[in-house]
Amino acid sequence: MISTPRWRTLAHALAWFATGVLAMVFVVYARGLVHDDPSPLTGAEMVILTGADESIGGQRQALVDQWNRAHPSTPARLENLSTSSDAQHSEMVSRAQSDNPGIDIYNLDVTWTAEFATAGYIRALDETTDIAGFLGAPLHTCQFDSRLWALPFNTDAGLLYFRTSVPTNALPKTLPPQPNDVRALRTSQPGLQGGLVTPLAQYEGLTVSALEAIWSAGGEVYDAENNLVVIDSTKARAGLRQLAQGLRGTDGLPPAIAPRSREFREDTGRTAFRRGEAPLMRDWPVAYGQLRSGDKPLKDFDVRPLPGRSVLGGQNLAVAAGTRDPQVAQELVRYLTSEDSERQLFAQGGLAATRSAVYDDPEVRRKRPYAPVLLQALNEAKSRPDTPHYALFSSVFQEIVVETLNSGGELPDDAVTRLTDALHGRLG
Amino acid sequence: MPDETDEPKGTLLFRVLFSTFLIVVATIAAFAYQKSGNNVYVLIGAMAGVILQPMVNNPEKTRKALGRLRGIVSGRQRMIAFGAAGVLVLTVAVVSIIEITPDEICPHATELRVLTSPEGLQAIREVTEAYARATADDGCPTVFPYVYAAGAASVGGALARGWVDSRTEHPLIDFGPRPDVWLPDSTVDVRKVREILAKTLPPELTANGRLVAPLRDVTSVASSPIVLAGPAAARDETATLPGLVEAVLARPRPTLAAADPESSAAGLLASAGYLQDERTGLVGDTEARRREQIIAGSTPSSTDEVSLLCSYLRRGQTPAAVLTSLRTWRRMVAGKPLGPGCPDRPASPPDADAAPPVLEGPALDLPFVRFTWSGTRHAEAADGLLTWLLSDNARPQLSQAGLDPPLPGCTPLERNACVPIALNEMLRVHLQAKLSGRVLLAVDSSGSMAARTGPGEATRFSVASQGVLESLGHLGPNDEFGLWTFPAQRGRRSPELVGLAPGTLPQRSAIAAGLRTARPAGATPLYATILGGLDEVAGGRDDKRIRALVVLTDGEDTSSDRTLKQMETEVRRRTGASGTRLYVIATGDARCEGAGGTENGLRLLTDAARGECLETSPGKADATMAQLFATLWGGR
Repeated sequence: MISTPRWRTLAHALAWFATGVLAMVFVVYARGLVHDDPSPLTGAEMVILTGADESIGGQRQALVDQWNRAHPSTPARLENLSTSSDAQHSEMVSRAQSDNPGIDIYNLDVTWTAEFATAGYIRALDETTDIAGFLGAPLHTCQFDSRLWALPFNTDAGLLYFRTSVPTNALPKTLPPQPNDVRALRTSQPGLQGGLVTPLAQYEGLTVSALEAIWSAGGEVYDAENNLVVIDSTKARAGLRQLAQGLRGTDGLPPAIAPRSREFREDTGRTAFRRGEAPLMRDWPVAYGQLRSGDKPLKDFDVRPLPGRSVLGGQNLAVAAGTRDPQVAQELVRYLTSEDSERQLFAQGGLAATRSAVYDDPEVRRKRPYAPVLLQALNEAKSRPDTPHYALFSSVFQEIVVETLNSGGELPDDAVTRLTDALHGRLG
Repeated sequence: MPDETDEPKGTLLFRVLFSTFLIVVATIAAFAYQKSGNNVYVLIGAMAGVILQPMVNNPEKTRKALGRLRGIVSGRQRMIAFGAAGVLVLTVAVVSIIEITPDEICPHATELRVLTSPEGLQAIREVTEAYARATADDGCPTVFPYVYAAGAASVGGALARGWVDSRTEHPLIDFGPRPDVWLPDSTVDVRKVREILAKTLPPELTANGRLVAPLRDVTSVASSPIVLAGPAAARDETATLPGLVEAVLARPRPTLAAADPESSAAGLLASAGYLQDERTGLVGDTEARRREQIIAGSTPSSTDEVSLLCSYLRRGQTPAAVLTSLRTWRRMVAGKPLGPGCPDRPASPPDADAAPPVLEGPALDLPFVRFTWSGTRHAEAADGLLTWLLSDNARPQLSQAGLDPPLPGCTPLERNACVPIALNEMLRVHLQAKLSGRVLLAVDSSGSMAARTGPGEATRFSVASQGVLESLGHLGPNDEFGLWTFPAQRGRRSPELVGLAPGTLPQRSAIAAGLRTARPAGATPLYATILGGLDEVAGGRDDKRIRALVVLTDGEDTSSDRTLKQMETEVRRRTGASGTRLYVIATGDARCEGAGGTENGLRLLTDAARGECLETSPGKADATMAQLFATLWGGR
């Protein structure tokens, strides 16, 4: 009965439990009221702060033009920054920290979500946001602390480019290639000077190449589950050692990695591959169109997914915390990441789509014949460490990799301490 | 486990009601979890509910318990306990509402955008990194400086405009973020910006060195004297800089290297060493011309002092005598990085003196410029950096980077002790004395030059054409100039668009008209154009002229069977006798380095012809070309 003491006690406990929970909901909303300024300003121009549009034919601007024709009362404008991701990051963070940012949407690199979310520079998207149809890995980079902070705009995964003179059975089983792989390559490529071109100059490309080498050996740099830096594990050390050894020829074989890769960025590496300095190259999908175009288009190459897991790249659109009209900003983000927009960005502009349906489109497959390979690579791609201080982490990681390569593959003793400090934003 | 057999039986209605109630509670909890984004809140709420429940449910029992407590603890202790509980509740509330940051993660630092000169980039990076460490609390920096570089000649207009776009310039794309701090090499750089501002403002606003927005204030934070260094320079501490230079120039077959006065503040200040006389002030026109000839003949590449010293480093040589800032010289001798385009870990030249004599004379004064556009947070960060730079804490860091403390009297914009009084006169003498040039420009007009530099932007060829037209503005009356495009335009057999001739008005008009009609199409006969162009420039009568072929290209040669090595040999052979220099502006897919060092890059060819290879993005090709031509017409 309802008056039974035991039942009554239980019912009261539950009632108070519910009251306490509701009180905390109120606290959370109160916090939101303190931090947010949701007063809409309909009619204001939506400003999207983004790196310079490198798509073929300026497809991002084309999408914004289409939006403006359909929404004349809430027009949008791209504010373009340098192509350098460091310069983009600095200006975006500075704007977010300024008294009057004047920005409604940030086009963030996939590694910056945690930083912008924890610093309060962006606002979480509504729970009602439809995320169906997005590829899992790019969508995952938009989430942090169980909330959705952005929608994926463009994605990226590394591909293995190879000259068609390399028989399929001579393609490497791992990256960097092992001595047996180099032996097989040399058989098909007489006069081989180096097997693979991959960017190893000291910039983000080095972070990408080194992470992939470590993953290829079964190692890891950061164990997110236990919040531990594990670069000193046997497998991670082996991955870095293979990278260092790959730069040197062994057993009378040419080096597995073209030694001048240590000076290469993506563009210079691409030139070396075009010149035939190495029959293999690790690069992003955008290189496909670049190699096939120009005065001297390269025809005798093809692509396949990397033998190991690739680093996931790309950009996500996030609504600025200081936007004057969050609803319109979110609507614009939805529009720019819609299936039609993604189809246009990929088919016309060469920017890898973030929605799976686009890869099944026959027209897209005709214009981007590498689409199935790219989709496979994207499905296997892996995110870089998720930390609010990614820029510092990456820069310290690069220093450590350079020291490791300079010492023939021996990891510095203080690598774990330095990387742990950097993950937490500390200068060691 | 409760004993189920003792449980009283409930009615069906009660069971339904209670089940519904349970579902409602679960829904509320799930909703709360979703809304909070953090189950810590839900946990706190639930615990509070459970703890409060018996107290409110059975107040009599609670009162009794409190009564028992009264007997045990004193009133004062109760006051303290309740006070502590109040503070605890308040703290939890404030932390919940405002922010919860895990202890081990540093809070986000203030981003501080620091623009500096290409020659000072490495040194300023090192110093500001030390500053970030100095601001750290438990390892967490409060300021994170982002340091990037651009020459004052390039960014002067953008700074004066408040870093907003003009018709032809897009500073955020071309140069980088809008700076909170500008740290150029010299006050003469700041004067350039003020002069641009003065053109648009009433004279009284900028009179007597007065600063106007967006310049907020200027403070010298370090210094570096201009020195004469190298094995041929005498070590006489009692001499003057012009005196030491005179001694070098008095030797048989003298050599003296210096950066270009029109492209580099250090180069301009260094000209005080060779355009001034120890006794009579400025040297006469004839002597100035002789000295300019010596410098032009012994300076391999001289847009600025970093590229000048790098060209020696790449060859493993030490300049016999060079006028340079002590900062850059010290860094070279110490094997420290000098800047982009230089080896990362340069080997120290074997016969370089680490401490050349420092004499009274011009010096870099590193003005720290703050802007009126900075918001509160960034202005405070800039103030903090300035305060630190002027403190004793920064001295060791400045010294390690190759810099000296600021010198007295070197902060004012006018009558600055680090800048020669006769600076404008020196520049006039330099412009009069510089050699006239015979320069042929070959612009790539292959199909890829039709590509746009950005969405809605001009094509690569249009940007290059704009650069050509801007370059014509630097032509002197005796300079000769011609224009080729390659491949040859449709209907023509030769790449010549306008033949070499003095830069008269009709010649300039012909060049402008030729560019308007040119249409990018076809392949890239780069090597054939270079060899043909070198032969063309080598002709002519006046052997005192500077002869140069400037090639702008966005791709690799697509029409020759020669290898780059074979081209190098051929270029060396053809330019050896004529002294013709080859300059390449590489944009798009074209590369100076190719990769590491000079091997397999176009720099191999420009080094063979004592010229320079400059890499630039397609959108900046016009500015790079204009800067190169300003140097070329300077006889460099």
